[in-house]
Amino acid sequence: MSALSVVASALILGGVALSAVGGIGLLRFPNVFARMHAATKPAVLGLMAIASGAALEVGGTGNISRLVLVIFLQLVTAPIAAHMVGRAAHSRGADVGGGIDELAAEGAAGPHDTPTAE
Amino acid sequence: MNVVGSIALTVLLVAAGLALIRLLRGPTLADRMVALDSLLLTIASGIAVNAAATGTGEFLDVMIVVALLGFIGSVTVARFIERRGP
Amino acid sequence: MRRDLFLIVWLLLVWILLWGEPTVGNFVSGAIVVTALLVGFPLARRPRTGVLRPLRAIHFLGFFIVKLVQATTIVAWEIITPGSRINQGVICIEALGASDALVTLVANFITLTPGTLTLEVRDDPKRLFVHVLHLHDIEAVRRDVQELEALAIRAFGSPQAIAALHDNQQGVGR
Repeated sequence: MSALSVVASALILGGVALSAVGGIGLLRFPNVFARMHAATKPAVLGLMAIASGAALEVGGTGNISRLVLVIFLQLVTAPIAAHMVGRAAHSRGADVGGGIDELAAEGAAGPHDTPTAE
Repeated sequence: MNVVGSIALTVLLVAAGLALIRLLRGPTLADRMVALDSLLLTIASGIAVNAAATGTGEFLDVMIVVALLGFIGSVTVARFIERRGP
Repeated sequence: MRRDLFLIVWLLLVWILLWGEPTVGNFVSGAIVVTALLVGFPLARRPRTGVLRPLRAIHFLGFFIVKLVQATTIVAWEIITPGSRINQGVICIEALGASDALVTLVANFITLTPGTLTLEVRDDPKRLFVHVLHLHDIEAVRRDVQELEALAIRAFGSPQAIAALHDNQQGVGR
């Protein structure tokens, strides 16, 4: 196996391990926010690692460009999705895991309307 | 690479199964949405692994679409939760 | 105008990456699609005051990658080992008075690192509400986030933002 293949294999195995860890965390953690920490982020990082490994392994500009694109898109969109689900869950009073909650003290976020043309 | 691919796909299968359990259990809509997003990302990862194992990029377009749908779905459900409750 | 150019180049790049080959046909079809999009869905005009400083930007990126690897290892370890050291909470962090775009960047990076999740951004004064997984030391998290923000301002901020940053740090006595 060439060196590139070894690196690619390492990346892919590391990535799927991260995805698996995310799955386990989904089941283990007691409340929504912790599950979000456990599931979305390792899953995204895992996908990025796997895509990097696959890009190293597969040739062809078309394939590599699509894999690079998916990495980029995930990097940009995943935090936004996690943030929005988190905000929505908190505004509906989801359990924060028993610690301090300064956001609730400030007055929880209510439903937000879409801003029209600014 | 075939061995690595098989191992990777098995692990991803396990991860997808765990996400499915959370999807069924809930209890709130937000939990299910997180599980679904995780599931879609696992599917996208599986497609990438398949591309690496077979050496062709036939389904990479599907991977991009799945990843984007995961994002759009999460955002849409998040706004729904805000307006109408879990 | 400059912002439009950036957007056009970025969208064209995405289009070409999607199609794979940078051929003439892709460029032309991309130009058509991008123009149609920008004409059909015009974005709001916001003043852009950011400046790109390459060296600082690399420093920022490096810091972020290191933090990312650290936090991922911590959370992954937490998930695998039995017993639980998590202590969750939501804390409020003052943003250092930077522009909206910078605060968005910092909020996204906070969310991307495992263990912290931006829940809400409020104005007057500009604050970030962050949900933390291992909340053992509030001040440490605050310092981490403010350090991230300072690095971001130094890398991308306008000269006013950097001046404000200096005043802030002098005031705190660092």
